[in-house]
Amino acid sequence: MTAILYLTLTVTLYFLCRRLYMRWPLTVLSPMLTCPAALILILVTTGVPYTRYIAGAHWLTAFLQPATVAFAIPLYRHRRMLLRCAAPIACALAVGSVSAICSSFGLAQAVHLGRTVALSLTPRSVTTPIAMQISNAIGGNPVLTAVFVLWTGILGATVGPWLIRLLRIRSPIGQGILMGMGAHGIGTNRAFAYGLEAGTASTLAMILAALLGALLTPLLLRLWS
Amino acid sequence: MAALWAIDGVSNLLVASVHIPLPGSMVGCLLLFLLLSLHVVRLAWFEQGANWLLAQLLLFFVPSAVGVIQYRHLVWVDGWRLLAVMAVGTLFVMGLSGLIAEHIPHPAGWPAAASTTGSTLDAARSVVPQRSTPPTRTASQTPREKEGRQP
Repeated sequence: MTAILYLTLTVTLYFLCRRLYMRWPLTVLSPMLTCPAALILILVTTGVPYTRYIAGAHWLTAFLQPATVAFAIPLYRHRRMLLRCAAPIACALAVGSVSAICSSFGLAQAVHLGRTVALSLTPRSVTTPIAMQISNAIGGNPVLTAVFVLWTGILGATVGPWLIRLLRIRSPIGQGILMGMGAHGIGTNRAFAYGLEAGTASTLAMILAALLGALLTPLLLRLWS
Repeated sequence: MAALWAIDGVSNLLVASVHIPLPGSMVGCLLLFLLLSLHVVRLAWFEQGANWLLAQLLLFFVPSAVGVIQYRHLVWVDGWRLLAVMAVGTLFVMGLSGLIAEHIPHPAGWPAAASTTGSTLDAARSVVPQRSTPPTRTASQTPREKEGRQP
């Protein structure tokens, strides 16, 4: 009974938060931020333990699996663009993915964060559903990874436009890949403000970065240690 | 939707039986792409379900994001170091990939702009579940104008 309650609560709050964001499209009002914050507030004030909450809400998490499979659809739709711009996309994403994995793990070690935390940080430049699965595979903590991915997205979407101006990136493909590689879903959302081409490039970058991340992360970590 | 679950189920079995070092759903994504490219399955079978799933993507990981309440102590103690790692790392990754994509030669003019229809582009936008700005207005916008619009 309570399981259904928490499920409904999550869905209702999500749509309310989305409404709010559509009304005032500010980064701080993104449903990725407001909805979990509201739920945390409710759980903390009512004293409901997380285990009881997740018993109902985990049904939503199960949808992440077919959603990942669904990434094949935009990839297939834009296959022509993918082929035409294969060289810049492939190079940028290969370097981007390797640097994302190495910088996360390396920096985490440099500031002496614990091993589990460092491993959970490693897939943070990949979109959440896949990042959580990578994290699980390499021995990180998927829940922590979800939070790190979220913060990376918000950070990236905030500094991205500034970086684009600083580095004088003028081509839509450069702008899109910068946003999609660095800040996945939230960055892609921002990339569409530069035009449809940049947005599409960002969408492709996000999906391909996830594929590459799933392949490279376990491999690079094995080489590292 | 059901078709996507089926693909996911098949690829999970595949991963479990052949020990592929990849998440099952990612193999499913590649499998579906392959099946679509080989015209084994039709786009129309998956389109509606996929669009719906991708549009609600954020909702599906809200429960995981709430999970941070189990790690209050960690955020309290290591918060600034975590933030520093993420900020430096993100700047590095974004700058590097953006510069490379910018400076490797690619065909002038975006191929998709001429060849795709409105519906394809709408579908691309549906990956992004939040606000979608009308293309007519955004196409001409410079980064600076955009900055002013989003404080």
